[in-house]
Amino acid sequence: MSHFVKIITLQLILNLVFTLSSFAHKPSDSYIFIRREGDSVFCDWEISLKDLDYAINLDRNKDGNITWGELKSKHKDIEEYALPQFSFIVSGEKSTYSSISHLVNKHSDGSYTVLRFKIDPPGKDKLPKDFDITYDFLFDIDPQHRGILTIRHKGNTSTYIFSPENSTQHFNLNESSKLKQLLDFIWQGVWHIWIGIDHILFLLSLLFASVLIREKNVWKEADSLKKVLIEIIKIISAFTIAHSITLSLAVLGIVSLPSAFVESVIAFSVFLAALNNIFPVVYGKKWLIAFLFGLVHGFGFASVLMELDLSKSSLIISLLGFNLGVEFGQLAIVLIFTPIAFLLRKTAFYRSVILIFGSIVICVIAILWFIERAFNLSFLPF
Amino acid sequence: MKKKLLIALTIYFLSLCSYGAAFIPSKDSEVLEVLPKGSISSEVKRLKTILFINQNDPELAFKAASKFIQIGKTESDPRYFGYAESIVNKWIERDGENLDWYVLRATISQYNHKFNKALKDLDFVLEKDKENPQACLIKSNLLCTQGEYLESKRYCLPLLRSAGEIIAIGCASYSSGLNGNAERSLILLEGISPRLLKSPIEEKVWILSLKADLAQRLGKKELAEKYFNQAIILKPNDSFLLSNYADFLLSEQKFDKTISLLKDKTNNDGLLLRLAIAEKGKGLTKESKLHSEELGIRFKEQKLRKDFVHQREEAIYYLKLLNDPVKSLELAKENWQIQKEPVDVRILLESALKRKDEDSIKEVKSFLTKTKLEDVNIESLR
Repeated sequence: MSHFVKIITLQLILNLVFTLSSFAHKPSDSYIFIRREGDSVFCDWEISLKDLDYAINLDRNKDGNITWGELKSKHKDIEEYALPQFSFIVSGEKSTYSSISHLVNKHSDGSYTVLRFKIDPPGKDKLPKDFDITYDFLFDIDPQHRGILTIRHKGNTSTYIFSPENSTQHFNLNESSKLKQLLDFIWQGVWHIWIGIDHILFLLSLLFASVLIREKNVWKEADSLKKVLIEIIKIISAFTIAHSITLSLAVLGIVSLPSAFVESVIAFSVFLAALNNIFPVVYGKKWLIAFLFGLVHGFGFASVLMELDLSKSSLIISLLGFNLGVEFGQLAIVLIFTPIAFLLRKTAFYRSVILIFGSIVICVIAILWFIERAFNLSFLPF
Repeated sequence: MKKKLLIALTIYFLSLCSYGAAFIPSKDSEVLEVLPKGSISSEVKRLKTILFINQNDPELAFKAASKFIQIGKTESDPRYFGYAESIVNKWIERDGENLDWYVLRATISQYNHKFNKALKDLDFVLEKDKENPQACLIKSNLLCTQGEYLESKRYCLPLLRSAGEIIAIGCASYSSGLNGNAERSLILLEGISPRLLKSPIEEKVWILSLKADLAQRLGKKELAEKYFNQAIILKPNDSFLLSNYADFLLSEQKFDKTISLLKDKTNNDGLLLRLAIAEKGKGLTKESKLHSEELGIRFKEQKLRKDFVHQREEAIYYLKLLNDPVKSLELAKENWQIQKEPVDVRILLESALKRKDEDSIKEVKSFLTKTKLEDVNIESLR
């Protein structure tokens, strides 16, 4: 087997090795449209005749053409083949379908049969808002096949994609889609702060010294929690206000800066903030550093947000959500950091290991980042 | 003749207008779908039957999968790649020991522009069998696609032992030809050409298309024309060849020749794109507009699946047909993250120059300096 196979593939590969630039038309898809009309749920399911011909053979007279007559004679078979692979499930129970008609539609890769049917959900609620859909159609013969579902509900249209990896999806039409959008973006913001280690290191560098007071070139512990909290709130608020301003300006397209520049300055800001702990220059007005560099970090956030495929209509929601998410993410860091730092602030460990050694490590990382970003290199694993 | 064409185009346009509205055909004899030419349709059904009857024969399954891939290529229909992939996936589950299945799956993934997925399979194979000729050849080619021209050459050397001189030299000339040694690579390929007399047709066409590409990039127009013609005589329907030849003709402003080459190849999106550009260049505004609209619909349907694999063609479409360099640059930049072949360099540079986007221009220039890529078409842009 092995040798024989190799001869075939080497020729085959030569045949294919340079096909990259010449794509054909799109791979196989089916389109499902679900809509509510009056007190019923209707579905149009559009399936390519090419796919059906491979699966259940539509061209009966083998002349290479599929006619309307041939298709009509196969309508029953198509229903029997397709419908069991599409389940509309309400509280664990499958719905039944009543067929209404069979039509035809055209797409960019040929003709499609259209199964139009009514969905009869189990139970009393004929218009369930909470349901699952399982779509297993054609995946066994073509893993590149996708089911593209469009749901129209109260003037909103949403699209979902079914693939072999994602063949069951949950739907809850109660959920206001705007709220969900907002929550999605909040989560994105939180996530970005947590994985955006440069932002975390910048904040931590500024916060390290907030539990200490500098007097006559010597660090002393801050005596009251209140003072510490006020200092932290000042730093965090300044950072927040600054990056909110530039994040909004950038996303709304009013100001734009080259990302290599932004990313390099962010790295530099981390370096300066940490360096200031080792050789303190600014210690009274750290909120000012937070504000100034916060402006640049805002541009960094914006590039992430803009990658998330924003539509104009939801721009405000996404901006608000992302910003809130970033704040929540920051808050979480502060909530973890503050009590620990406050408790440890009197120890030599805090002042030498965390403050000085920690800041040296951050300085080194930041310098390496800066070199990477400014000269477009890549050597750090993060 | 022209009148006939216009009528055909009008009917075509009307059929486009009907996208989206399902209908019931008026006559039973109405042809809804034309299947691939007779022999291919029956071959597909024969393969399906063979697979069904011999479910435990890996050799037959392998042959069938390879055949499906070839049909997918000639028909420009990715469905057949899906059929092949489904066979391969099933056999990898049953017999994960046989590396040939992974090679075949990598071929399919590469064709579907799932480069990372392809690399994963290739690395798996190369880890177990360092000199696997198929894996080396695809990996080398894939690295070229990703702009790692220098690195790609490393995988050509083992081919000398495992696949013979011609394939090893072809592989190395492709890499070196992109890496500042175009002239020398062309001489090398011309040197081995007399030895190709008894080679399989795939090998001949491969070497010819490599030579045509090198000659074209070196500005040797007549030589390029000669090699393209020789290759197309051997394989008249190869969409990769046609697409490259069309690009060459378009750069020479030979619109008539491009149109006659591609007028019945509208099935393939990449070729339809080149046809529409030629029509526009020749002043056939109506035809070009119709084809351009058809392309727009195809891109839209492709995007519905959330497959982002055609940014290269879409970028060219926005720049050359819709005169929208903003959108074109956006797509060319996205594409640049995935592919870095000469044609990708061209479209990125062209739209960046139109938009005066210094960042992208700098990016291209540093890429050209790094790789020493030679291409008269790129030089003429700079």
